[in-house]
Amino acid sequence: MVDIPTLKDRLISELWLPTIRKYGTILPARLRKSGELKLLTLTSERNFHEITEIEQAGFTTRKNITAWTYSLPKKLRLETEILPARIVGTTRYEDSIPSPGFSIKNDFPFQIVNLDFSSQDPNLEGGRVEKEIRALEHTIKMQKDTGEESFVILYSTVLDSACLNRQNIVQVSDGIVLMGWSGLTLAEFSASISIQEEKMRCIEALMSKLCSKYGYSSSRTLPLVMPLDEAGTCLDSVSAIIQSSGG
Amino acid sequence: MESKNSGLPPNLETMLVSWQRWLNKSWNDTLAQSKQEIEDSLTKAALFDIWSNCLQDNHASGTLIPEIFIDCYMSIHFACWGLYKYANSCLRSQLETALRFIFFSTHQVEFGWWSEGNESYRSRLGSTDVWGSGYSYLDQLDNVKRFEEISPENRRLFAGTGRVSKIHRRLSTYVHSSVDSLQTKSEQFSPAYNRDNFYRWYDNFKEIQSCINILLILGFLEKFRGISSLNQSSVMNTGIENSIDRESIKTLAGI
Repeated sequence: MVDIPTLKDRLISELWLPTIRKYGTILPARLRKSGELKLLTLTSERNFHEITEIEQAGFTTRKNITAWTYSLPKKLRLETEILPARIVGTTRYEDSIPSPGFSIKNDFPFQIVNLDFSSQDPNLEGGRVEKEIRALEHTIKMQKDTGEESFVILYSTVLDSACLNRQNIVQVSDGIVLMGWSGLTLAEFSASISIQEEKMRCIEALMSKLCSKYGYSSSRTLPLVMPLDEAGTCLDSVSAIIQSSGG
Repeated sequence: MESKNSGLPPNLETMLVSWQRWLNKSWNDTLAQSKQEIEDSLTKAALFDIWSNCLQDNHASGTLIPEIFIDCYMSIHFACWGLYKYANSCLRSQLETALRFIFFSTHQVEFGWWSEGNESYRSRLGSTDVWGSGYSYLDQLDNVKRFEEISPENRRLFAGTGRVSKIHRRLSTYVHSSVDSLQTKSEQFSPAYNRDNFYRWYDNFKEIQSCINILLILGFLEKFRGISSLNQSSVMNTGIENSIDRESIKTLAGI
C-alpha cells in the first residue's frame, strides 16, 4: 500500500487549502484579517504540513491550533515539532468524542476542522468508517452547541474492501436525538455498500444531511480520491464550507 | 571562568562534552548490535496506545497510563545509552505504577486522595503499597485467581514465589544498588554498550511487559473482550511473550 503521509501534500494543495481560502472570502473582514481562526486537526508526526501551510496562508497561528494524535510516542514526537500548539489525544478521536469526559470539549468551537482519519494509522477492519461518521456528527453537533455560525470541515478516510453498513449508520445517527429532526434517510444507497464510488457518494450525502440535521447548509467542493493499492483501497477526502441555514 | 570554546562554566562543559560523546557512542553501538531488539521493545511500548484508548473512560487512566508508558519508553532509552541500572529501575517503576493503576481503577475515592498527595489511607491497608502486603489485594481479584488456577505453577503471577514478586525483587537490586547491579564497574566507568547487561535488561523488559499486559487484561477483562480482534491479537502476540500465558488468557477471556 502507498505510504499515506506521502500523499498528504497533494490533499493540502489541491483540496484543503483551496477550500479554506474560499472560506476566507465569506468571513467577516475582521476575522479574515485577524489570522486567528481556531484549527482542530487530526495529524501525523510524519507529515503535519497542513499546520504550517494554513499558518503560512495567514489563517491561524500556532497558539490557536489543537492537534490530535492517537498515539503516546507520536505525541512525544509532535511536541518536538509544533509546540506551542496544543497536542492532545493518545486515544482515537472517534472513540473519544462521544465520551462525556472528551478532553477538548471546552475548546470548541473551531473555524477549521480537519478530520483526517487517514493520518491516525487506522486499523482496517469492519465498522471503522461508520465510527468515523459518528465522530463527524458529534463534531458538527459540538460546533452547533457552542454557537459556531460557519466553519470548514475536511473529512478524509481510507476506503478499503469492507462494506459500509447503511442501517448501522442510520441507527447510530438517530441515536443522537434532536428535537424536530425526523431521522436520517439513506434509502438511495444499498443496505451494504461495497462499491467504492457508492461509498464516496454516501459520505458526501451524509455530510450534507448531517449539516441539515443541525441547522447548517453546506457547500461542498469536489472530493479528492487517491488510490492506495491495486485491490481498490483508496484515500477519499471531502471538504465543505458549512454555514448556519438562517445566516 | 567560562570556556573559550563553548562559553560554558568548566564543570558544565566537562559534563556536557563527555556525556554527549558517550551517549552518542552508546546509542550507535547498541543499534549496531541490537537494533531489532530495540525495535521490538518499541513495538511493545506502542501497545499502551491500545490500553490508553480502551480504558479512556476510567478515572485513573489519563493520569497513570501515560506514566506507565513513559517509564517503559525511558527504560528503552536508558538501555540504548548503556545506562542499564537506570533502564532496570524504570522497569520497576513501570510495574509499580501498573499495579497501582489496577487498584485505583476501582477505588476512585482513594485515587482522589492519592492525587492530592494524601496517602494516610494506606496505613489502614496494612501495607505501604496499595496492592497490599505480598500482593494480597491483587491475588483476591477473581480473574487473577482464575488465571493462577489454570496456569502451571511456574507461570503464576503471585501464588507461591510468583513471577511478579520475582521480577520485582530482581529489579529492586538496581534501585537499591546491589553490588551486581551497579552502573559502574572498576573496568568500565563510562556508560557503554555491554552485551551481557543489555540482554539481562532485555529479558527483564520482556518479562515486565508480559506481566503488565496480563495484569491489565485480568484487571479489565470485559474491556479487553470489547476491543477489536486486531487489537486483542496485538496485545496477546506482541505483549505476552510466553505461549502458555497466551493460552491461559484465551481460555479465561473466551477468545
